[in-house]
Amino acid sequence: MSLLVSNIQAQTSEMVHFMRYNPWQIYTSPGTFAPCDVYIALPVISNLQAGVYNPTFRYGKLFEKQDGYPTHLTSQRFVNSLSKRNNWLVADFSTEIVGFGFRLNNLFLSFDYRLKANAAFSASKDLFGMVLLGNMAYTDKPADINMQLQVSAYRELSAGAQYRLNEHLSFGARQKFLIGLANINTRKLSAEIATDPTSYGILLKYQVDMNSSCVVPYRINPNIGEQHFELLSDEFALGNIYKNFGLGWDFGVQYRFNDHYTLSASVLDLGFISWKSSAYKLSGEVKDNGACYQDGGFLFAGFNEDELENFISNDSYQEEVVDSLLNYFSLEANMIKRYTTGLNTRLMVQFDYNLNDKHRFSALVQAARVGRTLVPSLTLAYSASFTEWVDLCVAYTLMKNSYDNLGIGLGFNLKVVTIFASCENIIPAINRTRLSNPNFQFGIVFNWKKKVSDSATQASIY
Amino acid sequence: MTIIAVFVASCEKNAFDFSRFNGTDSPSEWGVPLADATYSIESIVSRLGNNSVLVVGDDNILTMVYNAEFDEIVKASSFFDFDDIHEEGDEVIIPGRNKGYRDNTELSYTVTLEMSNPYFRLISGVMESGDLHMVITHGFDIGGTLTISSSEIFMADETPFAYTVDLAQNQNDIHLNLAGYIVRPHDDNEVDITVDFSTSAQVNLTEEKVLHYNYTGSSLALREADLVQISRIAVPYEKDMNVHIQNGSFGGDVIVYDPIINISVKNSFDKEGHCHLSSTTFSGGGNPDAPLLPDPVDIQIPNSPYAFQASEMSTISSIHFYTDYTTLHVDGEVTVEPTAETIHIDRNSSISVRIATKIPLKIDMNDISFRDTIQMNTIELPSVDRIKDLTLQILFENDLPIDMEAQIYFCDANYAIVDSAFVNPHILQGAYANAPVFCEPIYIHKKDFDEISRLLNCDNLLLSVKLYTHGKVDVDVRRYLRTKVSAKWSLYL
Repeated sequence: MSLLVSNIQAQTSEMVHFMRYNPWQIYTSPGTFAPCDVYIALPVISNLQAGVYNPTFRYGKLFEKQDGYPTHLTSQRFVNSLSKRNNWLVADFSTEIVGFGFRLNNLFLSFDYRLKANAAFSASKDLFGMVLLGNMAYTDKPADINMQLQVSAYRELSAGAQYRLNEHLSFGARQKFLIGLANINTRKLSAEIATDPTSYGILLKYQVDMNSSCVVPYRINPNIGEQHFELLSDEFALGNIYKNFGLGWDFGVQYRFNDHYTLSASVLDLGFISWKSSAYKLSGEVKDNGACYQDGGFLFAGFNEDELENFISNDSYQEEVVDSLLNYFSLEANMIKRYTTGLNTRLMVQFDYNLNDKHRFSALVQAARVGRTLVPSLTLAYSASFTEWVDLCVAYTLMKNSYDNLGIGLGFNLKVVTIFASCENIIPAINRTRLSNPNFQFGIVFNWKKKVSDSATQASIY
Repeated sequence: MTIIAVFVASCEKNAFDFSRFNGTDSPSEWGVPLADATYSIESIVSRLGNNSVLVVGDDNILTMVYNAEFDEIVKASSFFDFDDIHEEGDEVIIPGRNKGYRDNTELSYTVTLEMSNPYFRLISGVMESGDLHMVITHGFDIGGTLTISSSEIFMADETPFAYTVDLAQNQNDIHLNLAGYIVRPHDDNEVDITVDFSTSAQVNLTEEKVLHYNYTGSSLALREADLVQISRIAVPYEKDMNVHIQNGSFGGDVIVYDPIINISVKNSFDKEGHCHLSSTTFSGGGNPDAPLLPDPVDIQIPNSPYAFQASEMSTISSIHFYTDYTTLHVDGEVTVEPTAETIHIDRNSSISVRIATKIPLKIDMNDISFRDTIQMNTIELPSVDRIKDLTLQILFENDLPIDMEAQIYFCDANYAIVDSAFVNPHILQGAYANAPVFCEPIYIHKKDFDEISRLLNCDNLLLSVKLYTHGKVDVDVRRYLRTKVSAKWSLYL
């Protein structure tokens, strides 16, 4: 069974990952020993994260300005700035509902219950090109339109364990139980539009293959002219909440060479969700329904002599023609028993250089699957702990089509409370026209730890 | 750092003020095909619906065919009828000196059936029908016997016809049906029937006795007969046919080559006849008449009882054909000459003549004009002021061996011309080398919004076409004119 992607996350690095005293770093680095002995997370306030990943719609590429005012949409420049196949717009949100963790000698155990939601839309360059430049820009080759739409909301109940084997090596894993709430997942949403350079005849091919599921029953009707979507709230049953079940795993390992050099690697979100609640399959392609069906597509070469005569002289024929043309385009919605989507797996390799106990430099290479695409990124981070109770982190992340991700994170480690806030891209705060990947994370997490002078804890923190 | 931030922020303070925003910097360019229509001669003909004049010939040449049909112009049934008869009279017995009872009192009269036919002498025939109705009234006190007989009428077994009936005292109705009887007149076309009356007992003749008779003969007709033709039969024929080409939107003249006249005859008359075709002529519209025959023609009509025998006449090789001709006139005569032999025919025997005048599209056109108005429906189109320019592209693929000079006019509701598609009428070269001619694309480019508006909102299209050929061409119905119309426009979003 193929596992499909449902979980999209903003692809810049979470700043807490680099904050040395923040307990949540165990969530993105399962091999790292927790920097506390006990933590307790309260609903919402302990970890609230929202972000948008937008390497596509850049103000500078979209608008032309005069006297500081936007005057025009720069169609060609914007289209030229896009990547050929995947231009993403991703949003994600997560919050801790409840969580706690504690140390047992060399073992740290943690339990978390989170709500996660994410949405991702991707389109190929030619979709925007068709809209902004017109079909005549695609006479030499067809416009190749591919789209992905993936939306997921689910709850995650997880149990994690980190174990420090010795002062060099520690490793950990997290088992996740996933309960899906809603999902939209496209396997195929594509179209090819070819325009003949001489006659302007248009050949359209398309394929729709997507699934959807929701714990609240609903009905999909793709027929044109009828109500397309209807939420059947009255048919909701409590049991629906537990129908969409999934499993996930995180694994991590960290090796500390000496006081200065540390190498860690982790795999996050291996797993799947099986969607059963009101699962629909929406599929469609051009049907062989007459003379306009050619080469597996719908070819419109102009009205023929009979159609032309009727079209000009018969008022009602216009509707008939439209109806007959629509018959070529099929879209069916069928209830299915289940479908499965995979989680967005992330591979991370991180190298840390600890200048001393106050300054650390990190380089993180990660590859994250977004949709059917592997998105690589490189993050260079500097974290400083000028005192025990202040965490400061600055990170720069480099990704394809996104080069201005300068993040900052600040944490205060009070007696039993760590308060933190971070932003993975502070440039929009200075210049809104460079709004690309707005993101914030905030939390107040209660935690206790031994004195840092304890060598074991000290080692883990470093 | 703060200074830099303030500077940068001040630079972009209006960045999200879209009050001066004016859409895209360059227009999107869209193109769609509007029409891909192929008009072959054949399809045009089929579009004309049930038109008996236009026919596709075996050689795939469209042909105008005008049929003048004179079925059963000579028919046996017109010679096979006896005259209806009606006669009334009295037969009287005067007592005279021998008053008193008298035996075997007899009275007699003759009924004559006559076939008034100057063309044939009847030798023998079988009656198809024949009702003979007699009403006899007599003044005798007693009944009697009536005997009807003829030596010229026979039953199927050749027994001479005889019919006897007992009469009552007063009025008597007698009906005779002669169907199936054989008649053999002696010398002429008359058949005599004798009616004899006799009393059944002695009659007391003390006063005059009157026998009143009233007889009627109707539907007296032969089914088949042996005949000898004794005089010439000559039946004239003529017909004016509506030419139906000129319709107000089509005009001009054309030289038509190789017109064809076919005369088809069917003859079940058991002897030959002749068909004389005097003239076949187009006329009307104030134009000179165009006779198709150089001279009258005469053809033999052989015995051909079951199928038409066709003959093709020699015609004038070309005629000047005016599209506003109104009539095709055909006239002539069918004759059958007398001969001594006896022929055997039935009442369905006949001679039929059909004259087909065919005008194939082997033509030389010069300045044929066609104008047609097409009423446009309202088509919802995008707001004109967003359109930068509009270009209509027209492609022609001409397989017709005809030059065309075309213009399309855009008209308002009152058919006033507001614009034209081409600056000058567009010349479309004909395909004279039996291969279609692909014309360079024609572009109708409108940059001015008012022009575009006028185009999009026109109520009527007026199509004006002039047609020419360079000499004689044969127009195969499979040849066609294909046109592709597409529109391209630039649109500011």
